[in-house]
Amino acid sequence: MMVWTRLFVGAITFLAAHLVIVARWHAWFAGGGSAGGATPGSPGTSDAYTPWFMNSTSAVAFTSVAFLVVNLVVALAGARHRPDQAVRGAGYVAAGAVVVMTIVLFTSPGGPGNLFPLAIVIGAGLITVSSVVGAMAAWLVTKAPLARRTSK
Amino acid sequence: MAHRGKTWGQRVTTGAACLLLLLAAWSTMSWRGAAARASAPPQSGSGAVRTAPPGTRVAGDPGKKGDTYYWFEGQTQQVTARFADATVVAARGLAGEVHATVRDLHGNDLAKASATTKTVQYAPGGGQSLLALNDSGERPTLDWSARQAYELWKGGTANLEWKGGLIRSRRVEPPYEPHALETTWVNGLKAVVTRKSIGRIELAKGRFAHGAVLKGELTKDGVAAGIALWFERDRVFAWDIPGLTKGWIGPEHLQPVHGGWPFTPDMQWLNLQMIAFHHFQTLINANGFVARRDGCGRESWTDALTNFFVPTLHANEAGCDGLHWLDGTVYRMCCDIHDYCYAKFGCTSKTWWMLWTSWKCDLCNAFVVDCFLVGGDSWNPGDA
Repeated sequence: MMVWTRLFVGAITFLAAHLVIVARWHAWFAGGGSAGGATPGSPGTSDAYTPWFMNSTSAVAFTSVAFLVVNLVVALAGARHRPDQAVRGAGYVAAGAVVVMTIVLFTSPGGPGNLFPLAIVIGAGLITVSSVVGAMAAWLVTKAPLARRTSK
Repeated sequence: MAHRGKTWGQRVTTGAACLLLLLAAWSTMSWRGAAARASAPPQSGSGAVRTAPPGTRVAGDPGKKGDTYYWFEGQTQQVTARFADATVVAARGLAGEVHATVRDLHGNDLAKASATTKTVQYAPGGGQSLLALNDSGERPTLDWSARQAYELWKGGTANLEWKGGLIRSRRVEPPYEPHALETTWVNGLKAVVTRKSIGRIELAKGRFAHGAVLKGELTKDGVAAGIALWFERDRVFAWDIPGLTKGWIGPEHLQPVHGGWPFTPDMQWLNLQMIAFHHFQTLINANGFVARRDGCGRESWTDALTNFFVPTLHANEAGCDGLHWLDGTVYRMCCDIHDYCYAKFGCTSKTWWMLWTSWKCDLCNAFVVDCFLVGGDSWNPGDA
């Protein structure tokens, strides 16, 4: 799979995960406190945090699992069965995601927050780790049949 | 071999699809279960305990009175509302009920009222008295009881209705407003708000405000301690508590998060806001640290500020902005100190890249990076 394709897959994955988080923020991610409502802090609604994957532990888990699964599938589809190839591919996916993540962070209501450099670094770390884990899982899955084929 | 490889690919694809389906089903069931637990309040103190995961913000609605508002109001010893033809003095009784006495301009008692969360009683000097159930929907406060007593004295007890949280005689005019409101708090703090009109003043370079204002004056043990202004037309709140805090907030500050002011400040809010500024800033200066992590479940100063005041004023989030999943961890302290540091030196998120604007802000940022790197273990008393 081409580098640009992986970058694109990463960007789309983050965007999709973010849209799910925004849509189900109150219902799934407990982002709205005790009363469901609209935009956090808006008049007359519950005063919750902005829908953002690092504003809720379950949203972090959701995004991490999404990147793990996507990288698993991408690595299998890409047929890169060497560990270094798998890690490099996961890095491209993560890079695409981090670009979109940064754009989303800076365009969210209320601005990026006064800890945005840390948010970017930690977010990038989370996405990269889950991506690499997914890609390495694919490598582990494919290692056995490859080994069998090589031995034959 | 080719046939075997294809079979293996199909197996992997099927396995991945099954894994995705299982994950989706598991997540939907668990999150829906959590949502159901969160959305269904227990009846009469029975039922499952509803928990909120770390990072969930359960502070009050910025447009409504919250715990901190009532805490401040509960410390109020007396409220005096001055109208054109009468003065109403409200105070708290021994059992927590509130009493209000309507007096004429010579100090003669004209009527009395009292209220609990259940009932409202009113006894005029002459005429029909009233005992009604308290359906205001809010806890009775001194400010409210003063307004309620004046409404009943002015409008009488015939043909009544609940309107805007007050029992009023049926009429179309808005409720009567005092021209001055005096709030006497504990610790020798007293705030008085009056209505004025002032000329154009420059709040910041190129930012002006003028016109009708609510002007608040704060005293501590009888000595002037600060002022605050609410510009009604420009919707700007400005304050100056010398030695403690000074600033202004306009709609432009609140627009990104709240879409503007989520409520219209009134006289009592202005009084309590001034008192809160003095109270919290004095405590912060005395303690030199903004967050109390004493493990006793008490609110930190930032949490207390956030509960009612900060969301409406500074548009800053307590805890770790953009990283609220870490709010329940050791990193929370790093974020609280960073928030305090920013508030103290007037920093904004721009100071991360505009390094030349303030070395103090750079130190705030350097501190929080170091704090995160060492796992929240770098703070020493006096750092903040």
